[in-house]
Amino acid sequence: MKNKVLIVIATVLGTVFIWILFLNLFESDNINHHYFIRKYSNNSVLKLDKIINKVSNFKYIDNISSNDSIIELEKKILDDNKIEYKLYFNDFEFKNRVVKKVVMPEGCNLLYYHKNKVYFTKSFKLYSCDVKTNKILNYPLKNLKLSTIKFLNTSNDELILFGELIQENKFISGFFKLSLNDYIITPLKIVETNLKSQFLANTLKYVGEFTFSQSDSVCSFACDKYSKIYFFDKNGNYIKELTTKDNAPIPIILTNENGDSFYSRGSTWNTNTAAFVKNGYVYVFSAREKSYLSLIIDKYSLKNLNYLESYKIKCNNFGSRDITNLFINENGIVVSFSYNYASLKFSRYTDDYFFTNP
Amino acid sequence: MKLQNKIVKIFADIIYLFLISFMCYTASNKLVNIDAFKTNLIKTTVFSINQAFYFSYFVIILEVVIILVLLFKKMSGLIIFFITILIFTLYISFLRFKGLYEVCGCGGVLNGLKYEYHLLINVGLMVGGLFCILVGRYEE
Repeated sequence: MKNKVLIVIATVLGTVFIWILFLNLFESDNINHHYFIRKYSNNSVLKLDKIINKVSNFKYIDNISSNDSIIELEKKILDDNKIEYKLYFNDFEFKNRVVKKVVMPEGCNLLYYHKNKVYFTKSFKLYSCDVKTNKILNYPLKNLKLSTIKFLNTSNDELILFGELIQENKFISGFFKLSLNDYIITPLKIVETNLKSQFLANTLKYVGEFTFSQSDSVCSFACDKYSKIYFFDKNGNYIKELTTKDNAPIPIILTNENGDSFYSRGSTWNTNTAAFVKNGYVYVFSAREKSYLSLIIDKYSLKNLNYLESYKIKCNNFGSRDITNLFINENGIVVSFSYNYASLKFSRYTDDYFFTNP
Repeated sequence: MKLQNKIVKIFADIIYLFLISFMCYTASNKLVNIDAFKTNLIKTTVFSINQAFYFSYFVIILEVVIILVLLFKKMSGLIIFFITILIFTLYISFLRFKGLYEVCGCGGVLNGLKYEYHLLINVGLMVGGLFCILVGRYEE
């Protein structure tokens, strides 16, 4: 009898061990990593110029977007629960650095710096803080919640944004143009319409960054967790959207009992950490590649949205998935990582647009 | 031979005490950060919000029961401990197989652990538990 019990126990334990071994040696057929076969070219669009250390030790959200500067952020909590932000302004060559200070209330989400003003949201409301006078201005936008903004090129008061607009009891998520002069909100591209607010969930789904390309007068918005890149003209009008070849689906957002939203596992992928347009081509920094140790750039035609080729750039073992921000000017780009910047210059191959229009 | 047996017994006792402290550590961390533990369970998509709520408390109660049995009925406690870690290893192996494992959510210093290290710790705990069981049986 005792032997029989022992045999049963040994069989059960043996089966569990075999299952553990199987589950560790193999992977489910249903897992799609969204990698794709790339055509690598040696004629890279960018050449690594230099790597620079950051000044700020502030680990998260350490850069703030702007139309013309690379701005680093350092924060210090003051005694009266206010927060002092130190803004380090760098030029693209990292030769000149200007430091400005601004004091703001607690719980601010800094979005953008434009013409001496820091734009931020607090409890979903939009404010600006004048860096010179430290005067805070509230914008009366009752029906609009915004998560990402960019001022339209050269404009002082018109901006393009991703957010949620409440209209006729409906919650409309998408891209909008906003005039800070008369508060006119123009829908540019609607991605979802709901009967309940989905602002937090859609902010997570469509997390990304706007990049304006001076050479093509195109503003692109690359989603970090979705294979879509949206394009707008210099006036903010929607042009088209590109689905990158990884074809990563829109992330699934889950909510816990406290109402906190977060990404579900197994169905959320880091896709395109940054993108820019140059001479009729879209260049995308893709995280959907097995290799972690190089910057991977995929090239697409802006005209017909076809994938063309890819480049691999060695950059001190930084990978595309390490990129936190991208800054662009006519000579090159600067990408930021947690503690460093990499300056990359355009190579002559980017001029081939003039010979072979895509 | 007697000295060797004594050393093995002392070694088994040290492991036994370590297993108790380990269970105390993970149980208390889960209890203190119960929301983070629940969120981790929901994130895997294996559990709904309701299931995660009940399962999180079930795991903590189970861990406390194991600690008590380990303290008062050593052999039974070690066997329950071994089976629990075995099932838990099966669970994390399933998560890895399905691509649902991201980082460990066990609590404390184990939080954020990569899969390979988590598996190594689990195997270590099972080997430790099994060693204590075998030494105990030998003594009996």
